[in-house]
Amino acid sequence: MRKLPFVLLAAALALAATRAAATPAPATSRLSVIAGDREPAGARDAVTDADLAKLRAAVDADAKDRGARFTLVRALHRAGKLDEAVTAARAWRAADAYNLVVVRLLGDLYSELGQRAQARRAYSAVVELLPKDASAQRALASALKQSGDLEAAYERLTAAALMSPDDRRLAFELADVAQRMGRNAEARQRLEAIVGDTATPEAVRYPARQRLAQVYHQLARDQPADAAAMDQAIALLKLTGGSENDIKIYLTWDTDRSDVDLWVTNPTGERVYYQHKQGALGDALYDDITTGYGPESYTAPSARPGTYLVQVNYFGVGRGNISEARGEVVIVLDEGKPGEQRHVLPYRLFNKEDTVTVARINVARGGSR
Amino acid sequence: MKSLLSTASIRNLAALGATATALACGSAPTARHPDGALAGGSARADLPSTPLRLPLELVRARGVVRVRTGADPTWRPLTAGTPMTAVREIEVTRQGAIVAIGHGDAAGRLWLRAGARLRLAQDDQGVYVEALAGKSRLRRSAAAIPVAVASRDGALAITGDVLLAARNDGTTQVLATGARPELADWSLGLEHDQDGAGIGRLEARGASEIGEPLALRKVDVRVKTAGDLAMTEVEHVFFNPAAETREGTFRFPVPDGAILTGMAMEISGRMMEGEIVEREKARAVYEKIVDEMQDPALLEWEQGNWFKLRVFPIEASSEKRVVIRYTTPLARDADGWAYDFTVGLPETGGTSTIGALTVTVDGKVAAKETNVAGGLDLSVPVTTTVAAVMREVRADGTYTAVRVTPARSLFGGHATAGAGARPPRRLVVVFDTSRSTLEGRPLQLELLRTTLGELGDRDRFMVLASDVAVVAHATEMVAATPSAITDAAAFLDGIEPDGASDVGAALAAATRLSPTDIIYIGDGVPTWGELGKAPLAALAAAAGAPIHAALVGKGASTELWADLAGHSGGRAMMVRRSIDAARFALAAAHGGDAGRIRNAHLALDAGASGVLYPNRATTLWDGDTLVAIVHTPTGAPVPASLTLTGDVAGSEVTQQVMLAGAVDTAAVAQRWAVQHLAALDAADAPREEIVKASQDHGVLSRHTSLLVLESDEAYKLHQIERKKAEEQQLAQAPQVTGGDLDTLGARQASLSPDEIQPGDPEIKIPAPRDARSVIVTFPWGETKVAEWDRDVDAWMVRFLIDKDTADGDYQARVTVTHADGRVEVLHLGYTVDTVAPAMRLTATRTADGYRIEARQLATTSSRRKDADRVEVVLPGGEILMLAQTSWGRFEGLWKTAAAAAPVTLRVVVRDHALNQAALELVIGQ
Repeated sequence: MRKLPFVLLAAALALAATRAAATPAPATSRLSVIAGDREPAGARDAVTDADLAKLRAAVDADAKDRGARFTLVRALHRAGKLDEAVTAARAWRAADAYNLVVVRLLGDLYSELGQRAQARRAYSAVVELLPKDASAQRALASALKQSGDLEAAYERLTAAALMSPDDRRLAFELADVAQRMGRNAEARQRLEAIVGDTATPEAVRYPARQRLAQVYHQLARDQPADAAAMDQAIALLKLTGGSENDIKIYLTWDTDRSDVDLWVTNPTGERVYYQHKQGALGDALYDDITTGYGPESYTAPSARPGTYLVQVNYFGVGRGNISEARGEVVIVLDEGKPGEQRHVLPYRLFNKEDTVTVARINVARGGSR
Repeated sequence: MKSLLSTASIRNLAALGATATALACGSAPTARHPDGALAGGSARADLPSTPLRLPLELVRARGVVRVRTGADPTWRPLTAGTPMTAVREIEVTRQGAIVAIGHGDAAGRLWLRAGARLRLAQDDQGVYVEALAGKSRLRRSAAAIPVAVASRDGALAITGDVLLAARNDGTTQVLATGARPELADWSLGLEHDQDGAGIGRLEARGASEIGEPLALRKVDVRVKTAGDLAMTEVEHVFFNPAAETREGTFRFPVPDGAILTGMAMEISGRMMEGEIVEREKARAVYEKIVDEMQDPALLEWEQGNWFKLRVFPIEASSEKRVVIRYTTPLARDADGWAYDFTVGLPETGGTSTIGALTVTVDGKVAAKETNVAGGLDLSVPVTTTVAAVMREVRADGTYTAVRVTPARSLFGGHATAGAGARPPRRLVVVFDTSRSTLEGRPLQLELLRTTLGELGDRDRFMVLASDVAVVAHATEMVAATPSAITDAAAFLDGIEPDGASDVGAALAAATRLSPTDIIYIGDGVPTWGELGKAPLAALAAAAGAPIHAALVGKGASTELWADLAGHSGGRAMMVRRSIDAARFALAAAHGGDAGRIRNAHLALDAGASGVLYPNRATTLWDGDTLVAIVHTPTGAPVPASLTLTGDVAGSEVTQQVMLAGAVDTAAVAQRWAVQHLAALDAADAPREEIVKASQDHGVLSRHTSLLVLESDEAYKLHQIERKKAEEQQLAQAPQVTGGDLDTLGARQASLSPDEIQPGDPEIKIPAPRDARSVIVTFPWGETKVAEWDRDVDAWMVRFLIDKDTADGDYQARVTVTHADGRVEVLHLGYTVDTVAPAMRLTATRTADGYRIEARQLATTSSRRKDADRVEVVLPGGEILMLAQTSWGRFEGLWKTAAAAAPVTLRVVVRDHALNQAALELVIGQ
């Protein structure tokens, strides 16, 4: 268990400079990722002083209007007036002490300002206010993951899993973080538990099998002596299209009762998404999760030369505590192969119907296949 | 009177000599200090005859304060702003008061409870105090003029904070306040504005929606004691003067430690009993009925110790009667037990007077007043017999409560450690600055200031602001000066509540500072870092210091900190009001003034079954009594004993607690249920389980409310089981047949002998062996539970008739609860007789000797002819037993020749109660 040092913790949220965590691409790979945006187009459009004056007036007119408060903070953020955005957010929080959206907004702002300790205090207030709420723990884990603090995210997910021991999606998320922290043995154990549990919904079991295959591959690479056993284990997973694919994309998000969708447009211009799950190039979307958290996964066993556009769309929101959706897209290139690359791309969606282009995957001609 | 110095025992002389020496050197006195329990010894110190030289200043008074000065025998009022000198006696009535001994507390400060009377004196050695009546509290700092109290143990020099109580033998009982802070509540209440106590208030709203307090025409407080508990019923009669029907909110402050057990409201002239209903259902039924313009009432917890009752409708120009019932422990007095009841009318808002107030305790009127304004503080002595072991038998099993008082020997030499004797303290305050403390911050800061304000000049402290990170307020521990305390508070005030709570990090940080004590002030819920109870307990244990936790805030929980405090020798308290903060400060700052058992646990014997509470570690101070309650399911044997374990200064101590001789007592199951509900809550038990336990035992939980409906039909309509009604019916009209007892071989219940002397006779009841219980209630109120006696094939009970019992006829009531729940009651008469029969003896010459006759005479004390044996001792030593010819008549023939000279015979007479008399009969005169 992590111990916090005495006096203000220098322990860090790697809040800045974590646009996309990635394993380096081998020189031989024909696949590469170009990171896109983390917020919807237009989220950073210029904001004039006149716009801000109007927004301030709206807040003054109705101090309880959360929408007006949110818009003002966001506008100040977009305008690069971070200190003012913090002031506006603090004023909102002072009047609306238990609103989790503003709590998280403050954390985001402190993060951008490089005030790591403050960011951690602000974010962590979510679980202080809702200590027995698994979804609050999960939302905080998401923020911490995005800030690069995987260790803290892992703790929050562990706490959430204790509160919701039967939540298989949560278990999947915990396994995912364990894998990303390099705890492959633990990730294997957790994923095998998910896959082996007959109560696991197929929408979770299938991505778990995919991830388990990745873990087996990694373990085989780490311990060549075990390679045969791992291959056997992979075979038993009976993955459609096998466990070695050019492109694998996972989408997860942090809100319950909401629907975020993964859109992947292949080089032919064909969009593979919930209404069109099977692409003409043999690529496919596995399942459409409409009740929060994901995961959704996209697989292109054999990528065609050109560009794959990876987008996330906020389809709908239910009655969750936090209406904003944020999460991660994990892109695995050369899955199950010696040169496997992994790119983690955080995103944020503020409103229903928002869409953000998180990455472009370029596929060069020729290559290993 | 002489100086205390010349009359005290040698031991006490030594103590005072030390004080005098210390005074001469200008340093703090080093005399003995009060311990946590009753002082032993027999010497009594007389006070010097000179009255107080220092002026006595009134600091605050709620009651009437009077003093006697010099040689003047008259009582004169002591008023604010007019200090009085030469005071030799002070008394306070109705409500308490605070006085300073000397300007600026030169010799300390006194808190006097209503009914207190103190004698004060002063000579060159210092000030002397003796409690003549009631309770008071004394505080003296080490630097103040010496003060000694005339205790049973001689003169006790006081440094620190002590509670004083007058004993029947004229001495003063002295207790360390820190060991028993709850006993100081009355004094703490004097320092804070009165927000209401003892009685409820009803605020009504009409069409205007503006609330208005209704006049309280009458309050009847009816109290019945049972064992160490008091069952209080407070009946309020409000009056709605408006010409419109209104809806109202009745608020009632339940005393600390009370179990709210019921409520009733007058509806259409009939008092309707409330039922415990699942909270959401109760609300739904209430709303539905309000819509239908009928009469419901819904009682729910509001905040702190206040309960709220929604009342509708309150008819125009009419009275509304509301009854609240609760159970509280009796207060342990210096010489016995007392029922404490405080009426506090709120100083702002609410009802300002009570038209008529009556307080009745066990049928005796303790107070009867009209137009009561300003409140009243009563401490009514109760002549109750509190059994060490109490029992209540119910359908679901037996509930056995035992009062566990650790033997003084367990504390060894640690019982008398005093405030002045202790080494300087290094106090670490872990101050929760997390987001959840947003609303509780003012109370937290008050706790900080009050607690640090209790420290001595040599004590040091450091404050750790704790949320996801830990920040120290200073680079090293600082002396507990007023300015340092102000600085620490300002430091914390500058930290906006934010973040989660990393309790583990805070405990680790505190440990690194090698504290003598750790104070925690926060909501007590870890939300970051280490969350597990066991690892956190290990971190706390590593500190090796007592942990005192003040749990503050809406989501505050004692769940973790009660364990940490219990293991370490500290206390965990919920703090909701200023008075709680003051109590905590006393406990935290002065808890070390008395010996204590840390990590005290109670356990059932191996193999015994049952659920025992308390089931967690706790701290027991010298003089503490813990009530342990075990529920044994029906059919399982009640455990024979419990074992108390713990450690005193690192040495393990053990005490066996026997459960034999249990006396049937009311509310034992309810007491158990309160702790059971808390345990269920802590374990996040399913709501349904908590609701069921609450309803089964008639104790409110956070998931239940008390709902009063207008009629039995209304309860039926809303599918609410009438448990209260059944209980009432059972209590008021038990099934009395006696038939089943008669059919058991025509054997009668018997008391043998039925004419008895004081002593311990026995009652035999031939009830079926499988009866759930056989309980005998004696005329003086005591109840005893009969035990099945295999040898006589009957239920037996022995009891004790006090030697002071007047001769006469009495009846014992026997209640048999059969296996199927049916109750039978029968009455057994018996006679207490302590007078030997008076007899008239005669001897008549016959042909072959003398006919000796004995005839019982009626006396003023007894007209009963109850002599049953008359024996005559003949000259040769032979015994002649006279035969009984009728009630009170005996005769026999002594065959002998005529007496040549007078002969004196000794006659022994005995009655049914075995009273015996020896008489003389002279023959041949």
